[in-house]
Parts: sequence; C-alpha cells; structure tokens
Amino acid sequence: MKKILYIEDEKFLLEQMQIALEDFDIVPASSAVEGMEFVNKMDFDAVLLDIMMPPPDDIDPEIVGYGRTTGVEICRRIRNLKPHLPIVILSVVRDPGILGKIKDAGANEILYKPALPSKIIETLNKVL
Amino acid sequence: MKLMSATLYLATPPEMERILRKYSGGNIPPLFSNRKDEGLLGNKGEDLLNIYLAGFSKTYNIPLHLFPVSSNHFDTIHDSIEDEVLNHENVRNLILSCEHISSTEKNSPSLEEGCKHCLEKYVSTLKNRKPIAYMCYTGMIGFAVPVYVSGKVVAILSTECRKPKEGAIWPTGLIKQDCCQLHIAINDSESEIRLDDWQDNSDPSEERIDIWNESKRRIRECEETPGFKSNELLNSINERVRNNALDEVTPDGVEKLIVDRLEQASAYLSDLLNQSYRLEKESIIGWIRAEMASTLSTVDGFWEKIRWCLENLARLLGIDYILLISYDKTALPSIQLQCYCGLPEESVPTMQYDYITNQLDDLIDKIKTSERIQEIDLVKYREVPILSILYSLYGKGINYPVLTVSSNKFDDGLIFMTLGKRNPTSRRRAIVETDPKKNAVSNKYLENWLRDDDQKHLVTIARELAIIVHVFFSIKKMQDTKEEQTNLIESVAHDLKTPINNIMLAVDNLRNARMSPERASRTISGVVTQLERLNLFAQKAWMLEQIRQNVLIYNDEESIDIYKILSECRDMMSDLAADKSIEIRIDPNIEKWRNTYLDAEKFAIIAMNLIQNGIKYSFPQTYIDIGGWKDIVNSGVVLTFANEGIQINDTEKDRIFERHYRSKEAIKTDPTGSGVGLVLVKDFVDHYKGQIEVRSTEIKFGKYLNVFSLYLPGR
Repeated sequence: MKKILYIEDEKFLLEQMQIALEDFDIVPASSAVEGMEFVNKMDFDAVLLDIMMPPPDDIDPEIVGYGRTTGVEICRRIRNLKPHLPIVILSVVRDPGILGKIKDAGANEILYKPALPSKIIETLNKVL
Repeated sequence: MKLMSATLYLATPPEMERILRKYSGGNIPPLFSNRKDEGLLGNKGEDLLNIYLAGFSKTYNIPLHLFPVSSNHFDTIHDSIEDEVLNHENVRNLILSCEHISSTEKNSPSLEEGCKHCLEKYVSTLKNRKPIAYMCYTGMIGFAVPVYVSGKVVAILSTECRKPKEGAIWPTGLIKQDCCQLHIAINDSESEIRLDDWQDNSDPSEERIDIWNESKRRIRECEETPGFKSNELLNSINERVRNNALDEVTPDGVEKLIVDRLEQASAYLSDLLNQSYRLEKESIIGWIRAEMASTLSTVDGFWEKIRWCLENLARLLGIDYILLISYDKTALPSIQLQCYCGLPEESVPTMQYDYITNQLDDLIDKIKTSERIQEIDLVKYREVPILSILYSLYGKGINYPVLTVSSNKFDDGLIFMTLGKRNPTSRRRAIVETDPKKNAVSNKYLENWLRDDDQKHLVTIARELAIIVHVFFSIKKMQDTKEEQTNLIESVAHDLKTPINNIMLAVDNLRNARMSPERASRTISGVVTQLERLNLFAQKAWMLEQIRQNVLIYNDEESIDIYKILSECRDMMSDLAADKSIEIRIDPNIEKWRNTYLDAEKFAIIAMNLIQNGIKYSFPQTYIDIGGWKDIVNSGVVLTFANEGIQINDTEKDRIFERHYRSKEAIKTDPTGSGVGLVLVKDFVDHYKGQIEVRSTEIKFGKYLNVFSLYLPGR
C-alpha cells in the first residue's frame, strides 16, 4: 500500500480524506511544521499538500502572503530534501500567479478544491 | 592682455551633471552630501557654494569662473599641493599660474570658445575636494574648488565673491584653515594701490569667530575711505596691468587682476545683494521640488528622498533641526497644510503640555549635529493631543516653530514637523512663560530664527511635501487595495469552497459506506457543522450586502432570550472549538436576564462571529468566556467575549472594524477569512446606539487576554 503524507490544517478534511483514500496509507499532518517533521523522519510515496495554512515560525509570513501560500514554501522545502518525491498541491484558487509559484516550487500536480475522492485518487495514481 | 578665463553659465544641476559626465566619462556624485567622501563638493561648501555650483547661474545670471592652471606651472604646483587640502599658499600659486595670465596668443579664442576649450581640455574630472574660502579686501567671501585631471590640479573653479550671510556659522576648518586674506591699503592722495601678499591668519580662531564682523568692517572701510571709487580702482588696476609687459607680470600684478575680478564681482553682486539671497534660495527650493517630485518614480527610498529634501531645506534656511513626527506612516494624509500660530494655552491640559514639551526638549537635546532630521514615532502618545500641544507651542517663543502636514482627522495626523534652532537658554523660557509681555520678547526670537519669508517658503514646501506624500500614499493604497482585493477573493473562495469540499467528501464517504455506523454518525455531525459554517458565511454576506445598500432592517420588537441564543451559538461552534481543545463557557447569570429587546437573528450572527473569531485566534487548550451584566437602571446589557490568544495592537483596534481589514498577525494565525464579521458587529452595536470596546492585555509572555465588550442600551 502506497504511503501518502497529507498535510492539511482542516481536521475534518484530514479525517474524511483518510476514509476516502482507503486504498492508500494516509499519514495525516495537521500543520506545516508537523508535515516537515514527517518528511524528515519518514519515507513516503507521495505528498498531498494544502496550499493555505498558517505559516510555521521559521518562514517569513510576508513571503507566504501571511499563510495564503504556505504550501508553496513547504513544497519547495520538501523538493529540496527529496527531489524525486511526488507532490500534489491542493488549492482553492486558480490565480495564474500562484500557479506559477507552485510549478516553480516543484509540485507535480495541482488539484482544485472541491475535489471528489475519485479525482484525487486518479491524480495520485498518475504521479506515483 | 586677453583674459582667457572662462565664465560658465550652467542652466540647471542636471545640465551641469550632463556636461561634466560628458567630459569625465564617469559618474558625477551628488552635489549635496553629508557623507565625508561623497558629494561633488563635499560637505563643507555650504549654501553659497552649493548655490553657485548648482548651476542656477544662467537663470539668475550668477557666473562661475574656471581658471585654468598653466601647464608650465603644473608640476611645480602640484608637488606643493597636499592630497586633501589646499592651503592658502597653494591657492595663491594656482591663481598665479592661471593660463589667462600667461597667455601670449594674439588671436585668443572668444569667451565661448574659451569656455568650451577649457572644458574640453581641462575639465575631465572634478573630484571631491574641500572648497577654499577666502575673504577679499572688500570683505566679500569667495569660494573655489580645484579641478583635477589624473590627480593633478589643472584649474580652479571659482565663484564670485559676495557678502557673507549675516549670522552665518562657518564650518570649522573652512575659513580657519584655508582662508586667504587679501589686504589692500589705499593711499588717499595718490590713489596708489599697494597690494599686500596673501596672508595666513596668525590667529585663525579670531577670524573664524567673527567673520561676519570682519567682513562688515572691511566693507565699511572701503565705503568710507575717501577717494575710494570702484571705477577708479578698477581703471587703476587695469592700466597698471596694461602697461606691464606680460613677461613682467609679477605676483603683485596678478593679484591686482584678481582684485579686478573681485571688484567686478562686488559691483555685480552689490546690485543683487538684497534680492540674490531670495533668488538663490528659490532656485534651491526649485531643485528640492524637482527631487520631491522624482520621489514618486520610486517607491523604494521614498522617505530617504523626502529626508534629503528636508535636510537641504534645513541647511538652506539655517534651521538646526527638523523633527519628523508621525503617528502612523501607513495612514493616508490629506493635502491640508496647517500652520498654526498658537492655540490658547487653556485648550491644552497643563500636564500633557508639560509632558510633551519636556519630551521634545529631551529629544532636541539628543539630536546630534550630524543628524539634523529626527524621525519620531509617537504611536505611544496616541491618547495625547500632541498636535494641539505642538500647535500651541507655535509662536510661543519659540523653540518649536511647528509646521504640520496633517490629515483631515485631527487625531489621525500623519506627519508634522517642528523646526528651529537650538537655544537652550531661551527654550526653557519659551515653554514655561505665559506672560504676554514675555511672549512678545520670545516672539522676537522667532523673528530672528525663522524669518517671515522663510516661513512662506516653508509653508510652500510643506504643502508640496504633503501633496507628494499624498500622491505617494494614494499610489501605494491603490497597489495595496489591488492586493487586498486579490487576497479577499482568495479568502472568500476558501471560505466557500472549503466547507463545500468537506461536505462533498464526507457525503461521498457516507454514500460508499466506507465507515462504521459510529464514525458515520460523527461524519454526519461534521457535515452539519460544515453546513452551519456555510450558512453563517451566507448570512454574513447577505447582511453585509444589505448594510452596503443601506437596506438592512432590524427587528427590534421581539424580546429575546440572550442565554438561549448564546448557547445555540456555542453548540454550533463546539466542533470547531474541540479541534483546538478550546472550551466555550457562558456566564450562567445571563440566563436570568429578561426583557432584552434585540434582533434575535442578527444577534445570533454577531455572537457566532465573535465566538468563531475567538476560536480562530485563540491558543489551543484555552477558554472562550462569554459574560456580562445587566444594566438594571437603563435596562441595557453589557456582553463580553473573552479569549486568550494573539495580541490586538492598539493601532488595529479601530481598523479591525473596517470592511475586509485583517491584521497581519490575524492572517498569519489563520489565513482564511474575509474580514467582514466585525463590520457586522459594529453595525449591530451602532444600530442600538451602543458602544464596543476592545482590550488586549498580556497575561503571559506572548499570550493576550482579548476582550470585546458590547454595551447595548435598553429601549
């Protein structure tokens, strides 16, 4: 079973995603800090990453739009640590500027909310 | 003899820079600079030299002279010149070696050609050197700077001489070290002229101390000398020079020529004497304006440029300091300018008046000479009517002439300047004296320190400064607004799409029977919470739109059970609170309240919003406390919503009630949200003619108790 790290600050969503993606081993992380800890300690087959989250203390809030693009910075850090780890970003906005940043940060795929489980599974299978 | 000296007429500083750049091929440093090694003329030239070399000569017909140094003398002279400082001896040698003295060419180029010739041939670089100040026999002061080529002096760029500015303080080391005195004695009977040699000061300190009086003395001496006629003197010198063969030109003869030139300059300047100061000042102000305008072309360094302008303004007007005082730089100023001449003292509470004036005293005492402009952030004095106090100080004596650039709202002033001169002895007096007679005396100081015409210039500059700042902030606000709109769209999208996403996912899970009955039950409960979240968002949006269209109607006729509504709100928010292990507590005494007439639906919305905010910005494992008391006399209520979390800054306490405003700290804590909830709370309280108060008190390091108190009067 593929191991997926899911970084998302909405706890309800984390829980539901774990249920929905039953064919995967979902490791939930409810904050960017927790997510980075997991990345450092464990091996994953892919990362599902929400873009809008409170920024960790070691990130200048201005750089990440006071949390609006925290996921982009986290994506960059993960990419630096693990160049071949597939990363899927979850975003609510389709702003071209942000999309460019996401790509620059090294994300493999972008999923727009609301996204049904079938779409998420399809995307994950694509990058795995 | 054909004079080969070139008189340069340069129209504007940019033109001067362009010309110099053309011939030097390098970057021309700024003319003004406080830093030792920067600035075309260093930091010793002061007003006069700057004015001349600023290139306003064409506009106001003030010439600059370039005296090329003869190549014959080049090496000899250069050997004797120290690297950094030209002393009086060197100046003398340089002037003596000027090419126009030794030229023997019959077909000398015209003045214009000479000018071009000099420029092309000699002015390839103008390095930063100390200008030399010298006093001529007429008591006039002149300035000169050496022109270097490959580190060697090839010419002297000189100003005309003029009377020193009354009361001018000459920088240490300028007159003292480099002054050359040219003495002349006039024989009444024979009109014979004897020129003494350039002389060093035997006692430089004396010269420096009273340069103004010395200058006046000499001018008077010339004017009062019987038989002294400028034309005769001039003719006498010219004749003497003409009669001498060029080979026989002696240092004395050369000096006569110099005197000739100085005399011409004196005559020329005597006509302009009364008005030239104004003209020059206006020219400089024109330049400052141009620089101010150019600040708009770049957001970066805006304040540095404004400071530059003020710095030069201060120097030009002989002001010792400018205090730039601001409450909040990010506020938008208006273009109003207020230059008050003093409010009645009674209008300012004595305690506050004394406090602020003492604070200003301390600040002024701390001002270093090198930092003429001080910037002070007075956020902490927000509650003190400092503007009133400063206005009241204006015209009182006057240590603090006050010029303000303020916004329309009196208590929201952006910038104001106090400017003046240090004068410790009268400063104290100015603060404490209230006797009108003494004030009259004090006002005399004002006249001395800040003349009427200077004040007019200041008013003009300040007004323009205000416009510049206004335009700058307008542009910045436009940019910020655009960014805010983008952020708002993102936040609204998030507020809408996240619960929808959650519901879709949960329903999909339920439909596919992916969970146990217990978990399904929890999920359904979660879906309800998400729906309530959506519903709250929709209600808020609807209410906000009604407020915007001014069609929101409150139903004030129903007596509501506040406790019951608060309990429902708590239940609806319980899942959200549980995520952060936050407990919502309601004071049971509220249950006893009866006969409170409020719009139940809207009260529920604002209560839910306050609780939701409390949860969002609270630290985990804390409490949201809802309390209050009933005002039995007025049948009103006070409701308090308290949480423990991030600080709400004083400056943000008002702004958080603005539409779509979210503090950076709040966004950082929770990036979602559209900043409309508190707008509704404010509208609700305003409708009932109540009041809302926000307090934020630190209870532990970095942890604040934030209390929103809503006072809602009874019917």
